[in-house]
Amino acid sequence: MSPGHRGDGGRLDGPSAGRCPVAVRVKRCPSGGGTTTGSQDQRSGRSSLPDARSAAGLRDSAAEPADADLLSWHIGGDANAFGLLFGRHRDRLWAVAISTLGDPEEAADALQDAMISAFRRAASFRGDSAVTTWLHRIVVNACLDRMRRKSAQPAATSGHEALLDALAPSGLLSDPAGRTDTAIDVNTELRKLVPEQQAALVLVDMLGYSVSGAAEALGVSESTVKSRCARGRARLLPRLAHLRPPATPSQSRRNRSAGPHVLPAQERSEEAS
Amino acid sequence: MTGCASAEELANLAMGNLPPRKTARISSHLCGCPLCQAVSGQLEKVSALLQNVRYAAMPNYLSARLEAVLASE
Repeated sequence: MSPGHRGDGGRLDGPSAGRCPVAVRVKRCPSGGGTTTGSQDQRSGRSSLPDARSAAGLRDSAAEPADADLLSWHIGGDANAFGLLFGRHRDRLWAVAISTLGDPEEAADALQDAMISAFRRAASFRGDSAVTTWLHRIVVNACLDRMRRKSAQPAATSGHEALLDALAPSGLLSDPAGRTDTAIDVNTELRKLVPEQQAALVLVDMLGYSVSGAAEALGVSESTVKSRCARGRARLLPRLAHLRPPATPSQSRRNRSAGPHVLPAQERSEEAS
Repeated sequence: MTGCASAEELANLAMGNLPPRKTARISSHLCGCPLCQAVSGQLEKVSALLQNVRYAAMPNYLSARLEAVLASE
């Protein structure tokens, strides 16, 4: 997985009305949105150290153990190693779980199942992928299991209030309520898709994973990820066409490109305050 | 050149997920079809809407619960 590489053929930063950029877009040429990268909002400014690092008393990045080291220490009987490993990736794994399931309790249960499974199956990690990819895959599978079970039961969708709790405050002074309403509508329609399409759209569109990163997390080919995203977007189109487009999609998208797993920095800081 | 592409075909085109001949055919149709251009624009809006959904961080009580479970393993 190469950080920052979205691998999706490049998407336009803005509406394409009046132009015919598609052939260009397919060839991954720069879109009309310009190349400025200087603007940083609160989502990209993460600077605080991961919890794991401070807990271990390690200040020097050179002294920081690799994920694979923590995992092998855990297998070797180190009682703290797995906790450190989880702490290091907790925010991103949580984001996957809550975005996929949309309900905090459900997401926490899925994450818990996944981490217990990873804890116990650590010896089966073969090192042919990154530890973080392995962890993501276990979490994604735990979420998909729950989605499939839920979709087998009629009308078992989570309540409106749970969703409201789960959504982050918009932080926008202008029209925060409208933004939340939009997020609820988007969520509601997303949950009507089959689990495989939901998971692909959550990883690629919601969380900004590269197609290759999503493919690794889902354990399918990149082409399958693209097909699922394409079908999901096409299904959502008539259901979401009435909604207003977000105010600054291009800006926030650009700030997500720091890496396939990078998530908004505001999440932790808002929780802490 | 015949009729319009489906939304799914246009979405696949945008992801570079169509075979070369189909890519060429739909791309050239798209250039002259305001309707398909509009659909392409709406597909981008769908992605942007998804991208702008934000979830809160893990609530502290859930975080504490999970850490306790892992510590007891």
